[in-house]
Amino acid sequence: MGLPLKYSVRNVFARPASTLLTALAIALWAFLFIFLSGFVEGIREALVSTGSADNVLVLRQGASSETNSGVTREQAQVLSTLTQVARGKADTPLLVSEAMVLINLPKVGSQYGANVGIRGVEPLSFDPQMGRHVKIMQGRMFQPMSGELVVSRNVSGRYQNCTLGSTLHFEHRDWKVVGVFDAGGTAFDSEIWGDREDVLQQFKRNAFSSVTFRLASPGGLKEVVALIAGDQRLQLEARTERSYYEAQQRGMEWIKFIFYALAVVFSVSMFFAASNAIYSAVQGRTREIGTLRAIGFSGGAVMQVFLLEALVLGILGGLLGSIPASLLVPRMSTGITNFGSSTFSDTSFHFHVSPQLFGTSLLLCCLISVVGGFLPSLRASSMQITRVLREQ
Amino acid sequence: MTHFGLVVRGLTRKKLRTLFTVASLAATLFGLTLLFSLVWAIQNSGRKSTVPRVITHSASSLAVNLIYPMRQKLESMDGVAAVTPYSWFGGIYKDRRNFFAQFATDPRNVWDLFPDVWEISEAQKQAFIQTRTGAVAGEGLIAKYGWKLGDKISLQSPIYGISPELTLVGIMKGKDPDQPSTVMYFQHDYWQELRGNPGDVGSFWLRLKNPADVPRVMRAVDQMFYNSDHETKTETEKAFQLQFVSMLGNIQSLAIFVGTLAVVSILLIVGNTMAMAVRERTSEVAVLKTLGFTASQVLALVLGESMAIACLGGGLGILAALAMTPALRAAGQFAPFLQGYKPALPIFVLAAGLTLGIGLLAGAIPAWNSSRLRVVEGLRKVV
Repeated sequence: MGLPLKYSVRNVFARPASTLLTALAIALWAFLFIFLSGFVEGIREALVSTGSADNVLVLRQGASSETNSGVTREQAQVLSTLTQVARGKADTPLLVSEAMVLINLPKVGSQYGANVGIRGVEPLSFDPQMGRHVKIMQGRMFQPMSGELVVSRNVSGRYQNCTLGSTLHFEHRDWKVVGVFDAGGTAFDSEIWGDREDVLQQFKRNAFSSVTFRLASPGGLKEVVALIAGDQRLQLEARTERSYYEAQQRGMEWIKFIFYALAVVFSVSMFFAASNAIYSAVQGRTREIGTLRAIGFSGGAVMQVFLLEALVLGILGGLLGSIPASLLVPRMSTGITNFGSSTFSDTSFHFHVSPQLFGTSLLLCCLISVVGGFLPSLRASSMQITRVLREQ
Repeated sequence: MTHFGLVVRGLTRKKLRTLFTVASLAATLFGLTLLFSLVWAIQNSGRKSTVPRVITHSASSLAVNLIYPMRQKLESMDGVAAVTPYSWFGGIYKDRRNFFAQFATDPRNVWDLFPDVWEISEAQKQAFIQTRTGAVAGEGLIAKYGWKLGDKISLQSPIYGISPELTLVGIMKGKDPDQPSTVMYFQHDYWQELRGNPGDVGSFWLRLKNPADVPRVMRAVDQMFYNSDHETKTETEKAFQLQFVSMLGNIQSLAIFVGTLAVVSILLIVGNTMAMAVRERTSEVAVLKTLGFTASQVLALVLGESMAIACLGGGLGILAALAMTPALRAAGQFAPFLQGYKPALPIFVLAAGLTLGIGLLAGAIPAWNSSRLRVVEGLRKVV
């Protein structure tokens, strides 16, 4: 027969100072874990969630990113005639041709800049039918050929002269920020959008960077990729928008590795903290344990008591850390340049905390606490009754 | 029984608890030392040059090119000793994972720009000039790919859509052993030829005659091209390298944030241990005071114990971080800033300082309480 749960819980709170200190230490670890994971998840969300599996992105053959690619107007015209391209209202092809350029903008509060992507778009780029989820939250849409831009909310916060109403100067001309958009946490949230023809003209380009179109039916993907690859005139390559952005993520592998390694190293620390707490609990109550055993509770029951105490500590610390973390961390945002992907542009993102992350954090806290408390609990259960009762 | 002996006795009283606390500290200091070392390596990955050099590139961004005619204008500027075109190629050698830097440059004078960086034989310099499709590779690349002089190396460019076929005609030795030498140069003219001679240039390196001229020349260059079709931004080598570091984001703030959380956490853990240790030895402390130990001696004893734990744990963690040096250096394959990694003294001093600080802070309150214990109270207490 086991001891009631109440016993374990009451014991945990019998020494409030010690419990609080240990729970706080565990809480800090939980916060750290959510912070580090939130960073990694934030990058992933920004890159992976971008791009629909129903959209096809066409680049020049061999180009590794939109910034390195070129698609001529003729090629875009040919693509728009393909049967696999979905048609919208009035039978217009759901296809957009866009130009990607990079400019170096100084960050707020720093003398250094980073490369920010400017996407020259057409009206259809904003259309929900293209699956991009870009909405103008403040200000208004830009006028064509007027040197007007709309910036993502991340960009407006991170770079100088990017707030609503400000003026940027590049390519010999002043550009006015007339609107701020929200792209739902996708990679577009790191970009500035402008009128395509305006951008092309000012950057002295005459070819687009990419063509993106919606698939008429998911089954058409293989066909159209093969068609485009096989057409010698075109020299283009097609893939789903989603797989393009997933590939961009590959440059960030080393960051994920470092962050998870850190989380593991610090969790070792927490493991020993939990061990310490339970060990001290056991040490402080040797006579009590002896008494319990003498009454008739088995060694297993005693062990259960202490394991439960470890669990309670883990839950306490886990909640104490995970709840504030889940509320605070998603408000943090930052940016990083993705060198490995060859886009060479800055990705701004918010830290992302999913409900699963909250759960994982809590679970890990409990697990580490219980495993940490295992040996001391075992010790408690195997104490010799007579020796213990004799102890002062 | 000396003071030191008393501290040791205190530590060994509850061996497991001491062990757990030390282990906890060791893990934390290990993690922190590594984290700070990484950040330090990133921020100091630049080359310390002894030659006054500046780089001129497009003011728009690194993705935009300048034009060749600018070279002459730059060369004729007052204070400029040598100018060479330097264009990033970014080609793929066999596999996308084989990443190394390639630049198209002028074989006749690139060495004048980097006399403090590269060492190469005269014969090979000549061969580079004479061979249009010639390439010169740094030692690091030779070591990695096992190339020999005369080997054919083909690259593919996702940026330009061309595939230069190069022949290795020279091997350059990096003068600074800590800087990576995994760079390849080939002829600027060949790069232009493959692309139909568009006449563009990625950037220009300028070597100045006098370090004092640097700010003036930087301004003069940008002034000269201001409002032209190719506005320039000229910066020192150091500033240029730091720009790349800053692109990695605010890693310093991140590291400080993580570090703070970890330090507070370990403070709580060690503090808890000290509090427990003191609590269960109340009667002992009372006895010590009865024997004649002063309050400050008691304070010192408790602090001593706390410091001992901290030094043991912190010392272990820091040493373990030091032991990771070869592993980190090997990781330089994937993370270029780790090539030639050397443990940075300032970081280890910081870690040692943190350790001592933790020892002091964690033991402060328990030590204070202990020292102020009234003998009567202490002897009366049943622990």
